[in-house]
Amino acid sequence: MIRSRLVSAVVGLACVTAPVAGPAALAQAATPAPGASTAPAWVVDAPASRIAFTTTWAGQKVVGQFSAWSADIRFDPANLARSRAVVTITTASARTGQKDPDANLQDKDWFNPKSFPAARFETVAIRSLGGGRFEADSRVTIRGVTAPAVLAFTLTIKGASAQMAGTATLDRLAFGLGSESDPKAEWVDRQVRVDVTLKATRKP
Amino acid sequence: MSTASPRYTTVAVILHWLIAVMLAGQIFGGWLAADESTPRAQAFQLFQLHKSFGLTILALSIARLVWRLGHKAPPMPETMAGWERAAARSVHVLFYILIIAMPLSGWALISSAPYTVTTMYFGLFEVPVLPVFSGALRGKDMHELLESTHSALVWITIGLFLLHVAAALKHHFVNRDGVLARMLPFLKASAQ
Repeated sequence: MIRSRLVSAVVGLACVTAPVAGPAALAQAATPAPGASTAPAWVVDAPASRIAFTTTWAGQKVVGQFSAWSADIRFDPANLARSRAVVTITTASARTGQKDPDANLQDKDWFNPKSFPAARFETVAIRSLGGGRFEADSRVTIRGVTAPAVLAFTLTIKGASAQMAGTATLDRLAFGLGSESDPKAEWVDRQVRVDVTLKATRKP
Repeated sequence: MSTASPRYTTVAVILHWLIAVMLAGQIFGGWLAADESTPRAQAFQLFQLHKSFGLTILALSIARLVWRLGHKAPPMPETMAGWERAAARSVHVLFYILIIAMPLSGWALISSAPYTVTTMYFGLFEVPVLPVFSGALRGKDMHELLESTHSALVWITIGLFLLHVAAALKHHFVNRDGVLARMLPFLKASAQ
């Protein structure tokens, strides 16, 4: 008991973003330990994860993805109130593999990475829909503009390993993406689907 | 020996009709591509064709201007009044300006666009944008200004075309002075 408190105290001091309880202790508990402020942290397996986006370009489907991003995930299905995820995406890493869409994405009317190097996603409230399905009311920031979004996702946790697949649809014009090039969404769909696939391991 | 003759030179006749047919197609194709009800995949292909033909017209028009400067047009009929000569000459000069200015304004509007769409000349090679518009001149305002210019030039061309055709028909059917025949490809001047 005393030893356990000591460990918690040391972890708490060492880990600024998870200041109170040892993550391992929380992971074991169905209900949060008294005083706990976060759910356990998860480490993303980057090669097995991806953030992709789908839209149309001149009537053709275009799929792209971000190769550089990082995620700070605290998640406990039994403690959704304390679960949250923050994802920071390097806008310059967006690639569709097609010359013109890629050139436009890096231009100042789209991601404008020179002025806005990062986009951000953060959950505000996560709720369970049952059967491993969840919905996260979220905030997305692109080009310095923050707008609400809903991420619907499924989650399977096996031991310390989790597999997540989620989808959110964003209105590109809400963020000013292509507002000069295509304000009427003639050439590029206004709705952009973002698909997230994550593989993560609970931090020991 | 004088280059003036009762007929336009074969080169002048070929260039006249090639450019005329392409211009008509360009006006129709450009309209279709700009029409929002045209599916975008088709509109994209139409714009690529429009740009390819536009550049072809630009090249042919410059060649035609150079040819024209080196080869006098056949003299106008003696029966034409001074104002008729002046009007004919003005329309012809304006046409030369238009067939060069119109493709240039199209090239400029694409070059100044806030977006990037690679122009492929008939799918063969990439056509660069005009470097003048790479800096401060690039953007929505300049793009829209040049777009309006491009479509204004179309309307002027349509107006001139109507005058040009009306005059040609009047020469042929009313004056019967052989003016139209000098520009017809398969006809020798006969009604002199």
